[in-house]
Amino acid sequence: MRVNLQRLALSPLPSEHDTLRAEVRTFLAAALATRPPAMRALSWMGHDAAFSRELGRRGWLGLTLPKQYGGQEATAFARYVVVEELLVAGAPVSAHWIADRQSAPLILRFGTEAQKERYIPPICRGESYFCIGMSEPDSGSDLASIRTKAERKGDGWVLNGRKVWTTNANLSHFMIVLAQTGGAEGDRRGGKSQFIIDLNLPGVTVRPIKDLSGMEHFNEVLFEDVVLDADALIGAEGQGWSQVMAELAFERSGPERILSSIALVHTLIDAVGPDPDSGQAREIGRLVAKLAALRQMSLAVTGKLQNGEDPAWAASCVKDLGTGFEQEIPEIAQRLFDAEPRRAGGSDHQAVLAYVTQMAPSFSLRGGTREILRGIIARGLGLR
Amino acid sequence: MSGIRDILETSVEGVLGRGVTPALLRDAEQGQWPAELWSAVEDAGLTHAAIHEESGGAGATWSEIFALVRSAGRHGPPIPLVETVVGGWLLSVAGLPSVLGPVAIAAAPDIEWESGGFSANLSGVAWGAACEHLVVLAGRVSPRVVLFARSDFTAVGAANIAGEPRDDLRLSDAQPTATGDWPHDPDALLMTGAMVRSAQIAGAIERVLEQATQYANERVQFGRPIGQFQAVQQTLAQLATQALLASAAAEHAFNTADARLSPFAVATAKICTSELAGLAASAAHAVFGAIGITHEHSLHFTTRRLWSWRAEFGGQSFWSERLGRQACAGGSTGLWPAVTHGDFSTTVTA
Repeated sequence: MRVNLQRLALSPLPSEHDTLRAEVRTFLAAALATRPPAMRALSWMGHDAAFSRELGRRGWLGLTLPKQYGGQEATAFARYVVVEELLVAGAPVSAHWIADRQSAPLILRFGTEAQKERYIPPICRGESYFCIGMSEPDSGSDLASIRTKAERKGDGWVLNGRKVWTTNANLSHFMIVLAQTGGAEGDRRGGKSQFIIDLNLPGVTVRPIKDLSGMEHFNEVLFEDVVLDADALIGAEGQGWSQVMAELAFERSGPERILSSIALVHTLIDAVGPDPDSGQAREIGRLVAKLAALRQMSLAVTGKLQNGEDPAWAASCVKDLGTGFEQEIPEIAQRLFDAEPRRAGGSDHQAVLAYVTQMAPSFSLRGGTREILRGIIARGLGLR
Repeated sequence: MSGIRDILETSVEGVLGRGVTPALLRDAEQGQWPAELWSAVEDAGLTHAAIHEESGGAGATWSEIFALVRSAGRHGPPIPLVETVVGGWLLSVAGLPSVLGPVAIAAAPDIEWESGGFSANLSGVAWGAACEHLVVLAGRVSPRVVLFARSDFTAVGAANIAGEPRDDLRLSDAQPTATGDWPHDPDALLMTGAMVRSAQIAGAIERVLEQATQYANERVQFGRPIGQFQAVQQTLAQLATQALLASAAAEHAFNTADARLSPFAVATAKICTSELAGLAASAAHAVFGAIGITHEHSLHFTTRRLWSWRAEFGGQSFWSERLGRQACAGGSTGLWPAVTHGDFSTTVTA
């Protein structure tokens, strides 16, 4: 048999974005001047609605979206530049994060004209926040087994079920929910549809779940006889599975799959200082090289998005490698420099070390576990 | 990509795909020079890929040559194809006429030579004994490209793990055939060597990925192909991601070299591919089991090259220490500008 060798053509960042990068950097240097490293370490979990609105005002949200809906009609590379600068600076991007990354593109692709006009402009203004309703208590990696159900009633729908591990549900206005809407017995991928749920509707209960660090990033969301209008359905009835797969591709290859531990890289380099021993220098050199190479890979997937090619396989590869890199960093920090992590008190480095060490296991869980991604990669090689 | 790049890749794949057989590789390790293969490569114009058109070469840029070198890594021809391409480039940039036949390359940064006889001990030179010409990049203060004929030096044979000649050469008051000023970085040969080895490694990783995937689909244990077991799939998936990362790191170095050899991109490429070489070789051998360890099987022609190439022209420790010292000197605020700019030097001095 022939082996299906897939290659990834590099996509150099067009130099026309240098100006944009400089503008973003200048803005962030001033806006975040007093933000402490421990807050920067939150990465895309740092929440600040006023900051998101300011980004919207500057035209840095919805960058790739059509101007008629408030976007900038810029390239995927322009968005990449803005997003990586925000992440490296440790800017609080969490409020708009999911809406800007995947909800707005999903609505643009599958929504009706009325849905686009209603939902996308406030996303671009940094005013409307979304979360993702995929995982359930009994459906984690096995997403096809979800039980949340939307049944037709009159012109609309009634939603019942439970979603869990929903990042920012407690701080969002809307959730895009994947739910069962009928379909044949045993047809795991059929019979599913996506709905845009206003989280203020009667019958919706959001309960934050404390994580091991004591913070409340994710939530449980309960739907009890939630009455939905007909236009809550996004995309085609029964096409929820393929819509979700397209959505996940946006989620798996961006700079956020490389940069989650960048705040710790920064404090580590400063802790080691300008005159490292050769062992420290080698570890840091290796780390810089991996960062630079992974970024080229991630940019190459962005090139695929920009060219309208299917990025799913390559995006899975980037996420597997990138999250592995992010998870290595607290381990490297332990090898290079003796510091006890501190949840309270301590130096900037100790505080950042404490946070990143605790969050690192989640890096390869969110957006599809390492094991699931490697299954996708293996199938792409032609293994069954 | 560009036309020249595709033409070079198709051409090299054709010549090496036909010519590099396990029998030929075995004979070469016994010291037999594959004259036919060399002629085929030279006749196809591949050895002169990097030579300016006015000097009779293809005038290809590094980004166009990347795929040629990666293919050379896939097939591992036992001839100095890649070294001759680099040697031709050195001669061409120094304004010297091109030469025919296999070329060896060596860096002698500590020898500030201007004229007269040239004396040096050069160790680990690829195909140093088998070449017809030797191109040396000498000196740091006013670097020069110095060309020697085979009769100008003596050679003591040595070989890397893959059985590729890595000879020790001795030049004693040798008279160069030609010399020219080198107008660029005195480290250019070291950097170019590291860059081409990184692309060869990327090609070799692709090769072991293909071999291991094919084997996993054919080898049956417990009543089914081992590629149906998740444990094996996970190993192969990792190998696939390693192949992509190695290729991306190497290709980026070649792309940036079109403007100027980038110390940052070359270090990145060699550090990453050298680490991935070991990981990929180990994954491929894990999939093949005992048969892959035998001399009869062809897997080792590629894995022994991976284990050799990762250490040549500076291994992981050399390049990562160099890059790491720059990163530490620049501090946390210098890191990201260096990554996006692809260069530490500007941020360190700033």
